[in-house]
Amino acid sequence: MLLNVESVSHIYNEGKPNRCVAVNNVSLQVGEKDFLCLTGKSGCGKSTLFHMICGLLPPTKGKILFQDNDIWRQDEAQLALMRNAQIGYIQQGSGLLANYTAFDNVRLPFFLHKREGDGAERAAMLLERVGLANKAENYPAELSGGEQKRVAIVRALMNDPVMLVADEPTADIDEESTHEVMRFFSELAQEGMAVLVATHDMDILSYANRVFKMKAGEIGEE
Amino acid sequence: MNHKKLTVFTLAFENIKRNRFRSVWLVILVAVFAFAIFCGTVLTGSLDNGIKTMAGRVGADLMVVAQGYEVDLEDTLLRSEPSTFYLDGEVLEGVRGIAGVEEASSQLFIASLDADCCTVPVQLIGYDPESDFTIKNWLVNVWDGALGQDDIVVGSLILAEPGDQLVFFNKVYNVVAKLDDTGMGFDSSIFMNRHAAQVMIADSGRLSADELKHRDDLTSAVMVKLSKDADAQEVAAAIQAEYPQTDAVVSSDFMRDIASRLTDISKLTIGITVLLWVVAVMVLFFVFSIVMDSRKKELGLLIALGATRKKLARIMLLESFVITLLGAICGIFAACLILFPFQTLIAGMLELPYLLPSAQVIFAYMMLSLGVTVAIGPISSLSFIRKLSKTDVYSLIKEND
Repeated sequence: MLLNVESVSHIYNEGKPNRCVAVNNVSLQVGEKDFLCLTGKSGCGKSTLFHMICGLLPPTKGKILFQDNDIWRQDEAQLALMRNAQIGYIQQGSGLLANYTAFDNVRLPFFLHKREGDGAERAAMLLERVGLANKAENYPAELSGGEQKRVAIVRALMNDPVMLVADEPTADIDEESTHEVMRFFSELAQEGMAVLVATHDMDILSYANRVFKMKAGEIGEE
Repeated sequence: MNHKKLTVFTLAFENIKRNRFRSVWLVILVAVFAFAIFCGTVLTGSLDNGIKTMAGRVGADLMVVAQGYEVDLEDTLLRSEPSTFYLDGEVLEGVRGIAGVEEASSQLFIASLDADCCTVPVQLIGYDPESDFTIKNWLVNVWDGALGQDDIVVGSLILAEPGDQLVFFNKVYNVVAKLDDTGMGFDSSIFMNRHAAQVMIADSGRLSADELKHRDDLTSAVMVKLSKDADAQEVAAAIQAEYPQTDAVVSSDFMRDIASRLTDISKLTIGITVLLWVVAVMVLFFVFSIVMDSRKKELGLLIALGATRKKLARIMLLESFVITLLGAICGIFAACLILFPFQTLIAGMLELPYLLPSAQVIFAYMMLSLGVTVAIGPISSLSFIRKLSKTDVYSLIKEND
């Protein structure tokens, strides 16, 4: 199993009057080639669960095994390397860095750890794949919302991760772009990547081979 | 496509370049504080240096002037305010005869209203090279010739060099030497043979022919050196008893009194400078912290992409280092453009003994100002990154959402 989420909970403001259980005792297994959609209303805990899976937010309870390693038992350097090389994360919104061009945004993860080369060829290929080769030298502010999202998607793929985690990847793009993105994710899953998508758009669930509904921090039956 | 590698340097420079407005304002802010602390430190150091060297420059144990002219003497010695005042020439011989007086020499002060060396009146001091024991002590460092009737020695702030000629009251004088800085009125003074000074007064028509006829031994001040066991106060009292129309000023008291007043001013300037340093450090630290705080989301995104906090620290350190270095260099350079070319003007405005410290001390001040201002940016960045390590990445990414 690529990912094994074991009875994970996350409580914000633990011990305070405004305590909030965002994720409650969630268990989930994800294998290679899985295309998993997590659906539910805003605030149901999807993003919190994804952040815990990506090593961005420690769980209050439970553990998350990624390739059989408890990710929250790793030191900072190991965790950073996992985020950089193993998991491609697409956050809500574009998440692009405004000071760098689309091309540099895409190849930025390549330089965050020691690697040979300059990543230019792969970055160019990825931008080509999402139809943005001609926008490589544009800064995020010069791109449309849909284009920014596509840049963020290919940036997550720069280091050829084994798992892609996308939080509301189609929230701010048009219908046509939405289906393009979902088809692209399907292709990635078919190529062997595990793809996890959080969405409240019911129209795109058909692309996934596994769908879970989340409600009040708890995950329902598949 | 030919793309450069993304390194800590390129990322930091890209951040500076793309946030031009923020970067320029930060550079200006750092420059202003670097300017202020370097100027403040040099001014304080110069005043302190001026006060310290002042006493050693007078060279006489007692100074005898016409009654009521003590203030004029202080103006002449300290503030280069030209004065012309006289006492009876017979006082010199009389003073020489008083018990406890080892040597006495007269000086003649003339305020020149115009000269081609200077845009302001200068103080001409005539001294007797034969009997002098004050001026020649420090003149010997730069010149050891005999001062002729047409020779003059200029203070460090006079715009003339040895070999030049200057005209006073239509007569040409040869500059034979230039003195080192003293931080006192001497820097704006011109020294000449006492007899030549007397002739100059006659030529200037400042005194009537009738007055001059009886006053070929015109004197402004008699400088007195006491014998070893003589008591300055007793000798001063004896001189004043003998010549009631004079004031015999004890140099040590005179200088101590001036030094005490100047020390109070010096303490105030030191206090202001220290305050300036503290305010500069606090404001810069605060501003850099605010700038860092506004970049939480950006830093969170980098961590989410796999950057270690060490890598982030290196990018942020470099960015803040470049900004503070640029600002500090600009500020200190601007300060140099004002402090050094306009030192005469500054000294004139302060009306205090103002003597720039040695080049080594100024360099040390420069390095200190540069070091402190340059360090603030990186230190506040490091402090922010440290604080960041206690915050989970999720909260950083959510910042400003």
